[in-house]
Amino acid sequence: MNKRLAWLGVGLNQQLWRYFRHLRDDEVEEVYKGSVKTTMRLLGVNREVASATDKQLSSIDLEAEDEKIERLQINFVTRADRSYPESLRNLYDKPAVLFFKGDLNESNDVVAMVGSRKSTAYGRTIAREIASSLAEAGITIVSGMARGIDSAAHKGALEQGRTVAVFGAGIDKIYPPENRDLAKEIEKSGAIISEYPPGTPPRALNFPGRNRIIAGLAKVVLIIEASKRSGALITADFALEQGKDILVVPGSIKSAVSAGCHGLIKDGAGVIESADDVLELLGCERVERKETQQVLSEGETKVLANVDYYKTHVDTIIKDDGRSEQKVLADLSMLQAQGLIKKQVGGWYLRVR
Amino acid sequence: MLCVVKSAAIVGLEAYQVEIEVDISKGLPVFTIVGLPDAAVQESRERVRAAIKNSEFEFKANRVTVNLAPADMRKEGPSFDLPIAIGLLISAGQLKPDSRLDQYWMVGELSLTGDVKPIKGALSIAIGAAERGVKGLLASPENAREAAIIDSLNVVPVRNLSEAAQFLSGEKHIEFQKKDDSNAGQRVSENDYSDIKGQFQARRAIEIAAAGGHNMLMIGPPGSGKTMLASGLPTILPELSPEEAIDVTKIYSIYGNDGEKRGLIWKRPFRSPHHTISFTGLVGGGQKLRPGEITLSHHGVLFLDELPQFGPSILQTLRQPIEAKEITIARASGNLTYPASFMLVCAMNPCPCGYLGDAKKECTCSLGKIQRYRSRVSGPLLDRIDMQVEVARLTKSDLMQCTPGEKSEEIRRRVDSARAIQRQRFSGNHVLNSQMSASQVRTFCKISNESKTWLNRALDKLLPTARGYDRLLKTSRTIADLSGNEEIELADLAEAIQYRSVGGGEIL
Repeated sequence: MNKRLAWLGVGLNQQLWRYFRHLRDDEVEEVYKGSVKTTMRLLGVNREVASATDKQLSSIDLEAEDEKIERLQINFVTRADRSYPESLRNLYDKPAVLFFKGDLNESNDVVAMVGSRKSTAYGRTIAREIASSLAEAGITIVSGMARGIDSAAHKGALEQGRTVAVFGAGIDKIYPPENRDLAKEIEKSGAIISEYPPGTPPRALNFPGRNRIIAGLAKVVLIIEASKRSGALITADFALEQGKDILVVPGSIKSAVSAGCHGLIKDGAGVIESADDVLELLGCERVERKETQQVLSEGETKVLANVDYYKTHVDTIIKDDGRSEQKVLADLSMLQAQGLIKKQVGGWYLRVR
Repeated sequence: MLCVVKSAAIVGLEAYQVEIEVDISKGLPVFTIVGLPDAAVQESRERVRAAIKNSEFEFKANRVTVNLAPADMRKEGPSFDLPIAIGLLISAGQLKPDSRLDQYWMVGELSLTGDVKPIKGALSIAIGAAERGVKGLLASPENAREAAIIDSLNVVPVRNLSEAAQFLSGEKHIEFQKKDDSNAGQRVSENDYSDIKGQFQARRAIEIAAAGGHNMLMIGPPGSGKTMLASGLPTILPELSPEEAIDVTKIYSIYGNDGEKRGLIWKRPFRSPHHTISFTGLVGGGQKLRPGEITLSHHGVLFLDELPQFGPSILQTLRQPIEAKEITIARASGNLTYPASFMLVCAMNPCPCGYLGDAKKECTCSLGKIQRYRSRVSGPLLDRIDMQVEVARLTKSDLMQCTPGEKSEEIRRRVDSARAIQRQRFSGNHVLNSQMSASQVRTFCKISNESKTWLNRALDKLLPTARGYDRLLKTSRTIADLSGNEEIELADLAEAIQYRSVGGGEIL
């Protein structure tokens, strides 16, 4: 028995963890070794709970669990390890164990990017763009790998650099399932992390816990799109608690998925318009991006002028253009192919660049 | 005494000759019909007995045997009433027919008063009679109007049994029914496209689909006008050719288009079955062998609203007729083929609540729900749909601002000229761009090297799920035909891509 394995035992029993979170490393070991009385004293619980806890802890063969986790090719760090992320050390309820795949290297600045699962194309485009620029500047993007903004942020970061995903389930249970490939990619350059033991299914009550780790890992939390009751706001709360900066990307005042963001702005969160704003806050060098000037035909220029950055319906574009449907539709395809606009569900187009 | 009268019955859409042998002999008064009659044929005994009595003939109590030959085919319906009654009268010696008896087929249901009523499928019977060189047909006035479409046949309208008897004995001269051309070229246009405001992309898509006969899928929230857009299609499709009109009329004649004026149907069919439709309702068959909705939309449009609500097995059955343009129904007694060359137009909501991507209303569906909803439409069916287009609800200000759209008439002119180009291309065969085979696509849908490079570069961005490259080319071909381009140009291809890529791939 060592401190590392002792914490692993606690980490494998999520329901016990709340009794342990205030303990020092040597105290955990003591709980394992000592009598029920010691447990009662250290955890501050009654005899009943203490004996149940002891029973639960002793029922696990830690050596075997360690091996099992190794066989799954999953790594873990505990509070007792020197490699435990520094950024989490100061959390009052830092996880006992972090299971991870990939590399926990902390040499880069970390920015968290979170947002709504039900995002708009605008939000996803912005998330991807900013994540990509930040990653290019050598910043690690941490997010929750949920659908929508989270996935977009990871994808953007992967284009240029490193990203870390924090799961609300065991890291062998990739959720949502369509992100399986994404998780593999993230693992290669960054890491996927979870405080929940392998095999834990994705449960709603696990996600706030995950958000505290996301906020904990980051220096700055960036919120792209969040509705009034979005989980992204929980991350923002954790960030506030931990004294981190919160930055918000504003949206349309009519968009329900930006309402939460606008609430944060009213409460005093910073507004950003580009990745450069974040870099400035972090005191990083801006990265000079080379703009490739595309040559557009007369018709394409006209159509592009009618597509705005939020969204414009195809019929409006046709009406405003004045030329025949066929010409406008063909130009829309051309602009799409050049990556200047994007098509969205419902016949909407938005300008990307 | 024995007597033979000729009549006809229908299998599928084709008529075959039925010889009705009537024998009266001495014995106990019995009236039997043999030759696999169904219940309606059996009941014909009662109608015939009463009709004869009420037409001032005498029904003598004797042993009557009626045989419907060929005896191995199942006979259905009341169409043999008239020939059985005539046969009985001749056998009983109450009617002395002249030589014309052998040259005429007769069909008709009898009422107890002796009136002749219309039956289903008169046109098929008339066609069958003409093919066999039969001289004429005796039928009810309604049926006669329908049968008169066939020029080579003398169609005699008979209002009741006595009239039929008098005609056959030569006592009374009845004028042959004249062909009624009054509704030739008539297209009913309740839904003119000028009534539809805005919807520019959808209108354009409909025009292309009509020009090339492409199957299409419209995706849009409730109230966006999908049904209206689809139901206007018959007004912009080319007029039915005389042969096509006969095909259509034949089908509706057998289906029993009660209430509609009996004459040649010149209007392109538009069928819109409800999603609760049964398997037989859609493909045809059933105990009484009737054509299904896909056959009823032959040469026309089959519109499936709320596509995902149709059962998966129902949608599966559509695959064969879409490819083969006909449906073969296997029965214990043999296979039966109905024609089913239709243009498939489907409509669906973007998500279960219907408002995904709507300008005003927020969608309330979870992503899982949306995925499940969309996956109800199987890939193989989608693979047979060339064009997909999203339709949006118009806002109030759109409705106020938009000027009325183009008239159907004008759109049809363009469709007609695009079809003329296609007829020339496929040297007169009835092949549309949508029906091209893989080798025809290679021959007729060549694209320039410039377009090829562009497509290779752009395809990732435009069509993340690149399925159906051929369908893209077919649609491009039609777009080129509409603009009169000999070769498919880059712009044609670029436009066609708009009908292959439905937005939202990213959220889903």
